[in-house]
Amino acid sequence: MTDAARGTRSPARVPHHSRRRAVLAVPLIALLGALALAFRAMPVEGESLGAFLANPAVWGARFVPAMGSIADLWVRTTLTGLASGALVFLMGSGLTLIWAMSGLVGAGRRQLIGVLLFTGLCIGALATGPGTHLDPALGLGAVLAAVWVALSVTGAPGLGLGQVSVARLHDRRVTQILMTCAAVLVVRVGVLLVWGGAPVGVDRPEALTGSVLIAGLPLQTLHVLGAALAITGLGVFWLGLSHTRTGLVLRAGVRNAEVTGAMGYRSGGLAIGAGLAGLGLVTLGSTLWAFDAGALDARVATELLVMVFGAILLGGMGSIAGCFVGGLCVGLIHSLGAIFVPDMTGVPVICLVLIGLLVRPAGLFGRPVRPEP
Amino acid sequence: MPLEKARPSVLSAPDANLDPERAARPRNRLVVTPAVAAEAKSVAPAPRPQGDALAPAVLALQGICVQIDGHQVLSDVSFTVRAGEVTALVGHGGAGKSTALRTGLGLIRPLRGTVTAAGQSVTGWPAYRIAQLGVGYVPQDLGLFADFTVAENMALGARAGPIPPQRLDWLLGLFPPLARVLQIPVWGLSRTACEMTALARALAEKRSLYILDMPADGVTPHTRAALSTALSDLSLQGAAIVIATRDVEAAAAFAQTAVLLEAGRVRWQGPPRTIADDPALLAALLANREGAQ
Repeated sequence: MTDAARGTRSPARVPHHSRRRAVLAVPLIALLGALALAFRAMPVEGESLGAFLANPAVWGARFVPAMGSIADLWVRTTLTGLASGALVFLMGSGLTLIWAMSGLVGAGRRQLIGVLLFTGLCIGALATGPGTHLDPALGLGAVLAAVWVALSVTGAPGLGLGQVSVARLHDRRVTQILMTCAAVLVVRVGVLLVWGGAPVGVDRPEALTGSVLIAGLPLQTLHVLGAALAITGLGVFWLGLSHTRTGLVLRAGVRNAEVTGAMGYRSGGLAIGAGLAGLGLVTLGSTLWAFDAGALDARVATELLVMVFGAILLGGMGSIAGCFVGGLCVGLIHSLGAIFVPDMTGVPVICLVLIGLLVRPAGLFGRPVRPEP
Repeated sequence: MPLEKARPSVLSAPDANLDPERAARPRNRLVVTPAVAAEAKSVAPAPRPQGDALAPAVLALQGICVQIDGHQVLSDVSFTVRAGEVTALVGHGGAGKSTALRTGLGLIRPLRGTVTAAGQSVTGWPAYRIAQLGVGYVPQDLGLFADFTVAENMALGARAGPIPPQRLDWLLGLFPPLARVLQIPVWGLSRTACEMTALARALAEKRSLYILDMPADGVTPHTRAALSTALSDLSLQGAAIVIATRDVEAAAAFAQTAVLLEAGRVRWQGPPRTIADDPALLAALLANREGAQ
């Protein structure tokens, strides 16, 4: 048997099919959400859940009317979930980009990337402080500029932590996530100590209030903007990374910086640019999230962290498409969770991520980790 | 398995104009063919290396000492890789072959000594700058990107843009099994196909120097046959090639010059046939100075 023949029946194609199938997780969650909502609506007034469950005869008769009664709620919940999923994707893809690039640059530049990494991540925690008090009188651009200033101020403490985490752990990303979470917790406690934990009100800019009518559905302008940005971002990533030479070199550099360098590519500069773009995405996503939430406090920041990391892990570390699908899943489950368990919206997200990782340890779009030969 | 191969003579190398790509190749890529080198010499006196070599030195290591984690890996290693020639680094595993090649490419910074590439000192340069002088490289572990397709891996070898159709035809002619697996990720491929992909990536563009750190004796027979053809093609085009091997027979089959490394020192340099035909001499050379250390 020749090598070519052996090559063509290689198992290498299998993951591609199953990765495409993973997109079905999004409609699956939406469907399960509809069923759960219908189930919740089925017991009649005054009937306990136990009594309802003990009487299977009425299930069929009540199912259709229950579906009809929850249709409107389901549509709204799903749209909200997809919209917040889009914002989660913006932040998650930015983080993925920053992580990917932090492994690519030389030792001398890791400091800078460390700063990028930690300032990008600390924004969730710093949302509790006055540094991100967002003045509605400012336009979106000015708000972004303010966040950038806040980020650069917080860069100094990030430097030391970034050194430790990126220089020592840059090839162990899960450890990096844990380190980052720990750092964010520490920063958050510091913020609480210094400024207190009162929620900071954030009003939407005038342009982003109100809603637009798309296909007969009234959608919030902010959600439409977030979705548009996310889809644009996904397209740019997909085109840029998969279909250009620069993208090929970047992907190669992330995998093996030494060999990429030995082939004559200077990927450090590209990496800095990509890291900055990633930071921009994190900033953009979290700013829109703050507008959406209306107020920022410690709970919102924690929730955001759980969702973004959950989306990255569920989608598969390092995969932008995975981050998109993971973000949508997490967004959906989060908005459903707000109906069922309004006090613990993080719990369904974590459960979803756990189940996803049990089914597919590398994440929905992750490549299975093979031991080095 | 000694492969019969005509030794390409520098003097009888064909005119550089035979190479259709040379004219189209932009920028300061260092294409040192004998003909070009002769022209250059008439304009400015090129630094003439010691010895009776006719071809210009493309890569020269001079007095290289390398320490890794406090261990002396290379001690005073000097050798020269010449245009139109195949140079074999011969030595046991751990003798320092890969370290020497990696130092030549700038992946390892030497403690002492100088690296000269294309007539200028490149000691301490980062690898990407040295590579941009016109170096094709196959790392010891092949350095393939496992989840990239064969075509993507090969495309990375051509910095100027997509591989020209002519060059691609030549590569696929050298490595026929690759033609059918171009769109398949490397990690599903056989050893032979991986070796060929790594070679095709290094040869994807015309270079003046090819550093092949894959052991010439360790590759599969398919690759070895293709490698033999590739090396004779390339040295006929005037490229300098340096290849690592653990086997003097392989060195004699592939190379015109052998550099015998043992325990991080150069023990002998010369035509590989000399040591391949004289096991007693080889043993004496390898044992030489062993007691003195």
